[in-house]
Amino acid sequence: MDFFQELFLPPSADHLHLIKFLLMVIYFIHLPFIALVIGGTFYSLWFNVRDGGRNHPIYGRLAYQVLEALVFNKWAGLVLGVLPLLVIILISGQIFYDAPIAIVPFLSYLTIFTAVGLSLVYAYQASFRWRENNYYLHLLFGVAGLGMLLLAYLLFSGVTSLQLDPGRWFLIRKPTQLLFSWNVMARFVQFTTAALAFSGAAVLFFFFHWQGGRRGLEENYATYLRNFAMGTALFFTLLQPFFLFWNLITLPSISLSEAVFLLAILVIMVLAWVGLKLWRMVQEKTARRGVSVFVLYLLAFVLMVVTDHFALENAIENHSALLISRAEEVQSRLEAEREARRTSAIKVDLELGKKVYLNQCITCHRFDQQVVGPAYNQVLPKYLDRQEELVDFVRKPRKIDPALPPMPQLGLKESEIRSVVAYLLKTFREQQNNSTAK
Amino acid sequence: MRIIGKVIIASLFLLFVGLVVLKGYSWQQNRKTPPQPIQFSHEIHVKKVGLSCQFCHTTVEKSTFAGIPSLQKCMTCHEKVATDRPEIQKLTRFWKDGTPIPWNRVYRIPVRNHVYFSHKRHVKAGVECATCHGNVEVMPVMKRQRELQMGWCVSCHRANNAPDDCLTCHK
Ligand code: HEC
Ligand code: HEC
Ligand code: HEC
Ligand code: HEC
Ligand code: HEC
Repeated sequence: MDFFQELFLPPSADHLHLIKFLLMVIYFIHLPFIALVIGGTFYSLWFNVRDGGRNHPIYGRLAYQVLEALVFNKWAGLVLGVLPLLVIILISGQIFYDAPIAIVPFLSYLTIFTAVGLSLVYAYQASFRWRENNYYLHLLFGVAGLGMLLLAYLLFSGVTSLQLDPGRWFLIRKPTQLLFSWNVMARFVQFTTAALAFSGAAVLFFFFHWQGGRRGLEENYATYLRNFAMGTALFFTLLQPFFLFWNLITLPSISLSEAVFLLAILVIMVLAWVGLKLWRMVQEKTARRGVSVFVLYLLAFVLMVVTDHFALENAIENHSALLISRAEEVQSRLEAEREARRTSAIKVDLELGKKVYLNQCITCHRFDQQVVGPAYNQVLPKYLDRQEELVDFVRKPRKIDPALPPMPQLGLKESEIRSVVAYLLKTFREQQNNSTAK
Repeated sequence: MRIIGKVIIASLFLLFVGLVVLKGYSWQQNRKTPPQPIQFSHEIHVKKVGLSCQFCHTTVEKSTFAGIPSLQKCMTCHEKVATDRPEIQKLTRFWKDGTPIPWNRVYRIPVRNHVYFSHKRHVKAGVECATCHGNVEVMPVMKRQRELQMGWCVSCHRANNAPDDCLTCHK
């Protein structure tokens, strides 16, 4: 029984740190993959439409090969696309335990959209085999898949943005309400353009460098592909600083800190580096720096995820403090219960009682005079025959005399409470006996 | 061509680095809740000591202002409690000098002159302090949790069917 009770608790400080870190790692696995799927599908559709089903020697082949290189296969979709979202739901449920934010429903819609979108993309990939038979149905799979994924990551931008603004948590109940804010727009445009740039870089990497580059590409095919990839990567990289800045200025100020600004600057610098490299590649007409461009883009993704992590830490600092405090409360209640069950532990010990009196109570109470609280000699008589009530009062003080400030909750252990009560009543009786004896 | 392109790209990114720095600077200027004259902790007084908000912010149910407690209220306890601590000795010095503590305001509607806000109406309507001020009971230092922008007031009014015409808040 105990064991199960202790499993379902508000997360403690250590646990909270751990799952926030885990969340960051999962985003870092998930987001670049989704970026590749969005970019790969987009470029594939682009070539596919230009080809128009006529099996053009360049466009027709590119439509298939680019898709194949960037979306991998359906197992990758499951492991890198859908599973991480399920873990994100579990973790967010804990981080936002008891917060007035509909995070789990929103993330569940997101997961469903992503799963459907990815399935359609893989159906699009598979349907290349019968492309000649029904070209438009084939295209439709791709377009629907891309649309679904874009919708999912619009929702994703909405959820991320909402997390950073606790003032709106309780106001947003429907997914459609998530979408109306400048920050969501900025995030969405930034993510999609970063996806297109990163996919360009990934094409350079997978076609010209990975395992020594693809063999058997004809000269003009390879040249076209290289120029296309470098051009798009450069173009969308140059748009990044604008959208990053737009995102930053629309963040609620509670989520900002020096670290967030520093990381944003770092992201922009890394992207500047990428931009300069791509520019040289375009000028020199080689794919030589493809590896470093790809790796630097991955680094930019890491830094973006870390920036959001810091922003989230700032925004939910107050909520995290509440969770940790709840966890501590539950912990100490369990300990008290366990102590109470071990009957030997609540032995009444007058020495202990005296110690508690001298350490804690004496700040506010004396026997013969009012300090902050009333004099014991005045209030103890009514408890002489009702010791349990006094134990109750010390355990959970209530306001009794409106003229005095309320007595604080002292956080004593059960044995300490019983001991100090016994000590007080005994001392009071002794004093009375002494004075009547005189 | 090659050099010109490089210069253009580099300056584009540098421009945005500069803009981020500027934004960071202006954020830092505006954000600072000035440090309080005494390190008062809501966490100690609400969670540990167990005081209710109304015990100190006495007029929150009766008036537009919540009210910051007077030194008198602190001294009902602190004449005797924790008098050995430096912060309490500071408190006692204010008390002996008869000067009120110059607390810095954390929440203030930016254009107060044109905006009417009342605590009484909201508390009576059952809106909790935490909705607008965060979980004060776990704050060692009072920190602003909401921006008090008009859009925020209005969206809550819409969500709760409270009046949202201009004259409700602008008099
Ligand atoms: C022991 C008295 C005391 C209690 C109890 C108390 N407060 Fe305060 N509160 C203060 C003092 C003193 C200040 C001013 C110093 C500061 O801002 O930290 C203050 C400041 C505030 C402020 C910021 C006001 C401003 O704009 O500067 C808010 C909001 C607030 N309290 C809310 C609460 C809430 C909510 C509760 C109940 C959970 C509460 N307080 C309980 C004494 C108290
Ligand atoms: C109901 C009694 C009560 C009232 C009223 C009260 N306090 Fe306290 N205060 C306490 C107790 C109890 C402690 C905790 C002492 C301890 O840590 O053991 C404390 C601690 C503090 C401390 C921290 C001391 C330290 O450095 O550890 C400060 C500062 C303080 N109070 C300021 C104030 C101010 C300012 C007010 C008036 C707005 C106030 N208190 C009103 C009971 C009270
Ligand atoms: C509907 C939102 C809302 C709620 C609910 C709310 N406040 Fe406030 N509070 C504000 C706003 C807005 C201000 C700034 C008012 C101004 O600029 O004059 C403020 C200011 C304050 C201040 C400092 C200025 C003053 O009025 O004395 C204190 C203290 C305070 N609130 C305490 C509380 C406490 C305690 C509660 C719960 C009983 C509470 N508030 C509930 C919105 C709210
Ligand atoms: C958490 C939700 C919430 C927020 C945030 C909020 N209010 Fe309200 N407000 C209410 C509710 C609910 C009522 C209706 C009270 C009633 O029915 O008496 C109300 C009533 C009022 C009234 C009185 C209306 C009347 O009929 O006289 C004023 C004025 C007001 N709010 C101003 C503000 C201002 C200014 C802000 C922003 C600083 C604000 N409110 C933020 C929920 C909110
Ligand atoms: C629920 C309360 C509320 C309602 C209703 C409301 N306002 Fe406001 N308004 C505010 C608050 C609070 C501010 C101050 C916020 C700020 O400065 O960021 C403000 C600020 C403004 C300002 C900017 C003043 C300045 O100097 O920056 C204008 C203009 C304004 N309101 C117009 C309107 C108009 C027009 C309406 C009716 C359509 C309206 N408001 C309805 C609460 C309200």
